[in-house]
Amino acid sequence: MIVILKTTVPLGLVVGLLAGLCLGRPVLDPVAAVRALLDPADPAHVLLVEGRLPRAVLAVGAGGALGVAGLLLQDVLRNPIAGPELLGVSSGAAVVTAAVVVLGLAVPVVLLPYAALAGALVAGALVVLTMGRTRSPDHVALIGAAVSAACGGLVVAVVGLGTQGNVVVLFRYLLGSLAARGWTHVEAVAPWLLVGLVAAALLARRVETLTLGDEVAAGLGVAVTRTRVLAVVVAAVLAAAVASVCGPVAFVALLAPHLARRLARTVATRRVLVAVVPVGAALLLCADQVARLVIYPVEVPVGVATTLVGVPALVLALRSRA
Amino acid sequence: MTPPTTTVLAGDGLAAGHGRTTVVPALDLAVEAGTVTALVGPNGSGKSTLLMTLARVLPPRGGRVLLDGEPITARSSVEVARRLGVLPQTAVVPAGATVREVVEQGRYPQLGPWAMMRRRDDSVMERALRLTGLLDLADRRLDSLSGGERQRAWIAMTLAQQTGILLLDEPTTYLDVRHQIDLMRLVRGLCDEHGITVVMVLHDLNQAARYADRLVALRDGTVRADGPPTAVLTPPVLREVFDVDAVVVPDPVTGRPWFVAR
Repeated sequence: MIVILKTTVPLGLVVGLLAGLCLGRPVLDPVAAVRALLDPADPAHVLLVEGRLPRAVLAVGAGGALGVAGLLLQDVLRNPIAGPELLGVSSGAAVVTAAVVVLGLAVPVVLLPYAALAGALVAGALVVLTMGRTRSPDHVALIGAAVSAACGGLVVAVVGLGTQGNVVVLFRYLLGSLAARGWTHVEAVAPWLLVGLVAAALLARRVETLTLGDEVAAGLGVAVTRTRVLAVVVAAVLAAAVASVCGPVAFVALLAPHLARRLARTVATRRVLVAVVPVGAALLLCADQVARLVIYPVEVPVGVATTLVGVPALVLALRSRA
Repeated sequence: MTPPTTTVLAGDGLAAGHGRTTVVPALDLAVEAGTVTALVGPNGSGKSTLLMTLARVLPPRGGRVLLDGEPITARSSVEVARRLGVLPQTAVVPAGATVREVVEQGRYPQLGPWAMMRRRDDSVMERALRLTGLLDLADRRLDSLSGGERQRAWIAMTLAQQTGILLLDEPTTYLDVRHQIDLMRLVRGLCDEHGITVVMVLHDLNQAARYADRLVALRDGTVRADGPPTAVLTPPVLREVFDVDAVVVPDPVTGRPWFVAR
């Protein structure tokens, strides 16, 4: 399993990247795609640089960020099924996007990611604020599930007000999609992802002590509650940034840490952190190619593809406990 | 042979409890440097709560904890962790972690949160693993080991912290007789040879009498008897603290008190 993972992750990144550049209309062979990318005079140059490349870059960044968010939450809550879904972050972004699309709010397209980000952060903040009242990681997971369910209900309520046309638009968003994402989207999330990744790296050592239990961590001199809140905030920021441009991409955050632990042959947070970025990136990049291919030329939302790819991968990973 | 003693850890009017319940109302306790103290008492007497409060793992509900004569809150938590190591009973085994990985966590206070990728200081780790007899098991998964082996791994983690004070909550739990004796001798050796101060919660009274310099008997959060084993392990104290009718005889090996229930 580990050998398979070690070769699959770099391979997935390379193949996914090439496929991302080659596929679509027109389909290019890899050599032509690379040539067109490098040659500004090539007729396909603009399509690649402005269309396919940013989409692939976004998939890599978003996948890596989701992996990190999942790892932080799983370790800090000592819960193997924790993920950003448990923070209400994705559904917070969905509520705002649904409101904007269905109610026809005058939000410029360029600002839509920021509006969604605000919604995601508000939902995440609700969970973080309630954390101050409880010491138990299980309570945090429960509160997150409640906020998430409440946001899900709001989305359905808003969608109920919509016409058929904007419900279709929303439907695609709600399943998560990387279609037609450009550099503006990349630029919108890049600073958030960067800050989140650096913060995650700085927190990793402390988060690792929390996996041994709160009292052990406190005995080692770690500020338990502060570390837990900070880690949840960082995970919320990462997941919110991703959800604001890609919608709620399912499963990557849950799955990537489990695969990365097997890849790194350890459960030590700071070592898994290094592995989870490429694993998450490869996972989302490849899922996006599956999304584009499976019923070509029609695209399925990437959220469907991550589930199609992710469920068997998770089952396999859990069966072969290294 | 009684050199002048210094108090390294003390509770000053200390009240301790979990959540809203107070288990220890107000307690004064001074622990002298280079001694082994055993806290004994029935279930629910407040031993563990007191130990965790002394270790600043639980916040005091009143009074204060003094570390080297100063309030423990005057130092940062990491600084405290370089002086005082604690083994709680609530340690969680992370699924898939190896013994070495868990023991390595004990290095956190010495290395700090920024030592992301630093090479682990192997000599300290090896020593902790050797003293607990875990060298051969170092790369095994903790969740594949027996309860006693796990317990030894947690003790190794605490030793890797390299502190002058050790607080151990029921360290012999799950250990077989051989490893119980080894651990008690290890504790005695840490104290006698390295001057490490140990406070531990023990359930086995004969073990406490044999290896500790001082017994503190608690019941309902108050100290009922405090002193050398000969003064504490007596029939009246056993009756008052444990409701046990007992005979106390000298232990044939050491001459320390040895109790047998009637």
